Amino acid sequence: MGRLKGAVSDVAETLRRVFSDPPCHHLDTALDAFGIGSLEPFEGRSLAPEALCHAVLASADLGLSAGLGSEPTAFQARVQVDEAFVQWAAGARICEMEVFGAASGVRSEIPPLPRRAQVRSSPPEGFRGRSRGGMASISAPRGFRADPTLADPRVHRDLELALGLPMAVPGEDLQKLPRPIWMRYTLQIVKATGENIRNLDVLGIYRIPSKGVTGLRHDARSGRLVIQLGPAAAGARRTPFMLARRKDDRTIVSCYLEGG
Amino acid sequence: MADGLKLAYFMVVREGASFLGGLLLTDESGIPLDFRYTEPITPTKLQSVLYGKALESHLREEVIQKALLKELKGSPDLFILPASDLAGGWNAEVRCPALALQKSQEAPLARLGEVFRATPRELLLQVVEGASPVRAIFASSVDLAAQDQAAAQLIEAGYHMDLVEPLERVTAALQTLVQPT
Repeated sequence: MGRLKGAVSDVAETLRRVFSDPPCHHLDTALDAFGIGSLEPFEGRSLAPEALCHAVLASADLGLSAGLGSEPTAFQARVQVDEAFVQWAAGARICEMEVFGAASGVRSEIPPLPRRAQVRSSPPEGFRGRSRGGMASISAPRGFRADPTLADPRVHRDLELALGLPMAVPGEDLQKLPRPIWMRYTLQIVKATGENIRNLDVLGIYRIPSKGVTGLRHDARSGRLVIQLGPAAAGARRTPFMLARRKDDRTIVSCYLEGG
Repeated sequence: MADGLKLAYFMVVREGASFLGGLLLTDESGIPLDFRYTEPITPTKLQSVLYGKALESHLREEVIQKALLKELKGSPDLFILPASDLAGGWNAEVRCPALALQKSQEAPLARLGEVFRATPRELLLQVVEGASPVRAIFASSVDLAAQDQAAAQLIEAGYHMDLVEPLERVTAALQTLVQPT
């Protein structure tokens, strides 16, 4: 029983394996090698005439001179070959197909760039530009100059105008005059005016030009003497000038001092 | 009295678009020694545009002042100009000290002839006893020593003349010249 059971088991196993694996078939996948052949070149053959006529004079061999009479002419057949047609036919190759084959691999490289550019010693010819003589050039614009400098003005002299303008002359400080000088001055005005000194109020002593005084006015508020000068005053010596007022009629009297 | 002291009073007046300059040279008493004035200068429109704000100062310092000083008879010891001109920055080259004189409202100094330095460029001069001192403002090119020397000269001259008044005379003379007769 045991053997039978084992045999059955083997059979079962064998069947199971047979039916479990799919059948495997060998398939030849290689391509058929194609034959290398060549085509017969087309060859043209000429149809040469089998016979060509060759004319031969049938003359007597006696060496007699021929007369003007017509001689009898016979045509003799002779085989002729035109070799040119043969050569043409043999040499003409109308088409010859190349057979595909494995190409030999060639390694290609990019040539390196030159490290230094070569300088041509001579100028390249044929690239010279030619100017067109007929081309009108653009003319430069006209430039103008404006002088910004201020010219020196003309200068005039007019001393007479300056002298004629009223000029204020301050009086000297009478309090600071030395007493002898004061006494001399008062004596001079008494002599010049003939007035009693007790009747005079001295308004001031002014240093004015000894000549050329064309006008004078006393400014009581400031105590100054306003004078106007003429051309004669230019360069004139400065002389003390005393101005006084009479007490009785309040009129003004004056005189140059120190012989002015 | 400063013997031979010469004071130059410089003034430029503007009349419309024209500029007119005058220079009065006086002695130590204020008596005119020479007076020069320029013809009116009228800058063109182009010059006004090109010079811009520098036009007036250029006219005063470079054109008018130089032309007048060149023609002046005698060289001044002090060059006196309006304070407004000096305040604008006076850069003209003058051989003598340039300064401006003003009547101040300051209290009188203690004694006549006293000099008080208010700033490095400004002095107060007591030229008249009991009156307000005169303010002297010097150009930046005048050093302290030259300022002191000028102050002494001004004190001496101020005893005989009104130091500020001649500038008014120059103005009056220029206005006389530009006014149509």
